[in-house]
Amino acid sequence: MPQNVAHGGIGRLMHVERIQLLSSEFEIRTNSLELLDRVCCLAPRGQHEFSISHGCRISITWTGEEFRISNSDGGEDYELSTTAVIELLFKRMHRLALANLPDHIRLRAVTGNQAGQAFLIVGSKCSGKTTLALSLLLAGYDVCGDELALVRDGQAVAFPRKFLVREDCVELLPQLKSYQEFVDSAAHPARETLIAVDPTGMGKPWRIMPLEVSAIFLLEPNYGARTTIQPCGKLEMLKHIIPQCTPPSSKRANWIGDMSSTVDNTHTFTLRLGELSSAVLAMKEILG
Amino acid sequence: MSDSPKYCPKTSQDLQINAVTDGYIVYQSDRDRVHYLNQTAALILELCNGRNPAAALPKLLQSAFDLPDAPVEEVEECLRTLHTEGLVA
Repeated sequence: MPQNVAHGGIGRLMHVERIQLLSSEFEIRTNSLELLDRVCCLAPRGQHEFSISHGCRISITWTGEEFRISNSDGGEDYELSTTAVIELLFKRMHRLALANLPDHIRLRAVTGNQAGQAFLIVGSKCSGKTTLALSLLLAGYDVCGDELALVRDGQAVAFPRKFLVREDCVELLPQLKSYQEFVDSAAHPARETLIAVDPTGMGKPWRIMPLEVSAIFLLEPNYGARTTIQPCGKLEMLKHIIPQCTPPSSKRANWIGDMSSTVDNTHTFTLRLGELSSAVLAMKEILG
Repeated sequence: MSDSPKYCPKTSQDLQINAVTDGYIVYQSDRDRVHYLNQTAALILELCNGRNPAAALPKLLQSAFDLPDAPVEEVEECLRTLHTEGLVA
């Protein structure tokens, strides 16, 4: 049974937390302080520069036997464990937050901000995007997302979610060992264990805002060698990007034209990712 | 695709054609397919306006790209591909 169920009975949802995900604000109400503490640990705490246009109240009630989770707009589910209900909560929030931006194209990409413009790093799964994102973050760049970018009309914004980093990343980036999230894993890092990393927890800024895309890097593995960056043709870039896109849920016409125009109006590069320090230096030549 | 000397290929309807610096991105809604055309294929698609005979296209490309010879085989192959993919009729 969760500890710290609200005094006065199981029914009172007196613990409240607000979480913003882009244009959506979620008010989480629960009678379980333990649950809320864990939600707060996992919630992304980026500084949003994004107007809120949708609100949703989500209630999570510990009944004494199970968790009941329900939205203000209907929909009720039940879970038996704190972990399961938290997983369901975040899935629900992500789904609603994305649904409230129906015209945006979803792209699997790292998002960073540099000099008031966005840069994107695209690549297939396990190509090294998150590791490179962390390297850039440690080098002082403003990296705001490692997984999902939302693109519309030439602008991109990171979906605010903590970076999920493989524990064995400390072998490539030993500087990580000084951060709380990695202290326990430094001795025996495991490839299959993921650690949720918040830039603010590393003393870095985490700004979530849509910005004009100025550069896109297509990541190709070249492990063990020196990193190189070469200009990439627009057609070649789009051949890689479009299959990585999820079309807008609004089914708006010619989203491909929107993405094509975005790519055509940015600087595009192929980044053959080798050794990480050379990767950061190579990107510094481009980004400044 | 017709072998008639009067055959004038025509771009299919309902294509979303998006130009970028080095080619075209063409979305074909009825098949839900995306095609990536380089500059040569893009020009051939543009020339398929229903008024240019297929036989005339190699000369047109030779002129456009200032080539020493008309690229007959290359144009034929491209036209076959465009026709197979349903981008021209």
